[in-house]
Amino acid sequence: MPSHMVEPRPALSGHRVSWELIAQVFAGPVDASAMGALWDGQYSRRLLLLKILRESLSGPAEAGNRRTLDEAWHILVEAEKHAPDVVRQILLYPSVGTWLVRAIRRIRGIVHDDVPIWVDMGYLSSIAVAAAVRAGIDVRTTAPVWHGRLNLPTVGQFEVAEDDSTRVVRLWAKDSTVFLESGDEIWNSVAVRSIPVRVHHSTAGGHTMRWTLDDTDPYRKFDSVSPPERLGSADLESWRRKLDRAWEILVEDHGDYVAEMLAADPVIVPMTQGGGFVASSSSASFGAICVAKPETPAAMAETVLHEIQHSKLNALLDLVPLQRPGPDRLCYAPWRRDPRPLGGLLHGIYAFAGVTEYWYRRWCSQPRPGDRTAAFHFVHHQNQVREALRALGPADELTEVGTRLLEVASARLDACDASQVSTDIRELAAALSVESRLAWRMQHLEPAADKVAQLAVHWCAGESFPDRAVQSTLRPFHRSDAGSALAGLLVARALDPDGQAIASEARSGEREFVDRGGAEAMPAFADRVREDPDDDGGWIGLLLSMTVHGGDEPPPPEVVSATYRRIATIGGTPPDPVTLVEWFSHR
Amino acid sequence: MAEVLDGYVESDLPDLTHVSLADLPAVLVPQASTVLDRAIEHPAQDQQVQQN
Repeated sequence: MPSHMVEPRPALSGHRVSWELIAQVFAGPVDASAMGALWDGQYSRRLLLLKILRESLSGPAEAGNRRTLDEAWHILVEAEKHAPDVVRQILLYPSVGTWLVRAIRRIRGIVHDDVPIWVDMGYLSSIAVAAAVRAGIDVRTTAPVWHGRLNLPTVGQFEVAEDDSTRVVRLWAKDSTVFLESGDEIWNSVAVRSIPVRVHHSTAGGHTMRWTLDDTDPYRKFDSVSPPERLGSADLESWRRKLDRAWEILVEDHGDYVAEMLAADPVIVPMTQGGGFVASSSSASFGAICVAKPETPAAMAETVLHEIQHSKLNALLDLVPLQRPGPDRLCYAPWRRDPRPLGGLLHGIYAFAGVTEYWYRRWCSQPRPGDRTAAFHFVHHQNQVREALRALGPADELTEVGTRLLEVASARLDACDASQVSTDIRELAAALSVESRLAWRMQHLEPAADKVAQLAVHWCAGESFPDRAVQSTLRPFHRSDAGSALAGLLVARALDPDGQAIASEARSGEREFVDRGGAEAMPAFADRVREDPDDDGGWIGLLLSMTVHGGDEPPPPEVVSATYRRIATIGGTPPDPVTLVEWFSHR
Repeated sequence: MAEVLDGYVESDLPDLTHVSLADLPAVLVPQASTVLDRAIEHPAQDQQVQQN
């Protein structure tokens, strides 16, 4: 029997997940014991993927990578004998999870990029050396250097070369010190070139949070291998202050989340990317949060709480499915401009239920009616989740556990009473919800051409609107983004009712709608669509102006606009857009 | 597919928390492909991204 083959043992049973744990997760904050159960699930997942990775390298072409993995495996086995908790901690470090999934995907050809595959496979050596250093065992091995750095997860990085070179180094971990071989048996300590992992502690209300700020690990981001982007001292200090204040907010107003926050042991990955990016989490990296520095401590607190909800649900999903096997349909998610798979929608429903409660509590804890920010975010997110639940409707694809998630989310929203929020904020939030839905429909739904043609014939014949709904088909991104500034203007007005709502790119009708209401803005939007029947932003504004404050559901914008264009084609004279909308609305 | 029992759901994910790395290669995991598919098949669905 070859050395890597082993005598098989009986199969193990699966994790037993109590309904009590499921109920606790769905209800929001969980205790340390529940987090412990989720971490246990993550550890099983990591070990299983590690086993699969090792078994995946079986062909002759993979012999080199196989030897590297075997050598690293043996070091990990030794380290575990000396310090099992240390090995568990390293294997559970978020970037190790990202690396593990990536490594298997690379072997299976699911991921391709220009990082040499031996760098990815050799990373298990880096993990093993980190374990050896922390367990205090003596090992000599090799490890990959990428972008001039040797990275040891949870330990830090060593600057091995001043350039961005990629190569293999021979190293010796002895007495928890790392030496690199610079010639035959000539070993130099690399301690002087050490770039340690940054840890920051925030204390509030007697609770001390340990934040890891990871700005160097190559696998810290979720979708690519990334060179280090070490924060400068001023930037680092700014992050620390925001985290301190965010922790104070969480402890003061959200004390029931403290246990899970502490147990999550969060790893914050500072991001600089723009394009509207706020933050992200990943199913591969329990506890990690990639985040563009929020403007305010309250936003930082919200982001941390939000992303930890995703982490918890990801961990639960590794234990129990919310969906039955089958295709994942695309849905409307009010917090996104793109259609989302059902699984993503469930994530959003869960996380935004928590965010709604976050802002609700913040609003309740502030002097009223002073904190418009909290009031607006509370009502806006409550509307979003309610709309997502309504749009989803009955979902036969869900398991009993998945159905329970929706029931609990709905009850959590109902427990947040918005009746005392000022009318103008509720109206602006309602308008924002309608605008978001109309813009999504316009960009991603396409009505059947024959049905649109029939509607045009009815109109041209002077008949009343046929009382039959036209079903539109989902065709993601079949039209460009409407490019409307309405959403931004509505948010600005909600947050600062006396200020000048700023949007340099605002087009005709948009500012009028926000400043003076739908009746004043309607003529401008109507002029826009008369001038350009493909002006989707004009159609959205027109429908919003004609319906939002009356409480009517606007007719489907993709059907109205397509019918308008069809009538213009067959009848020669375009109809009056306002009259056409009224026709659709049975007025 | 997880199985619902009295007060518990039996997960597809094998409980490896008490398995040492030395023993791990020998452990039989019949459900591995289900867990693996969920972990690696849909890279675009790994992340939950918040946007403005």
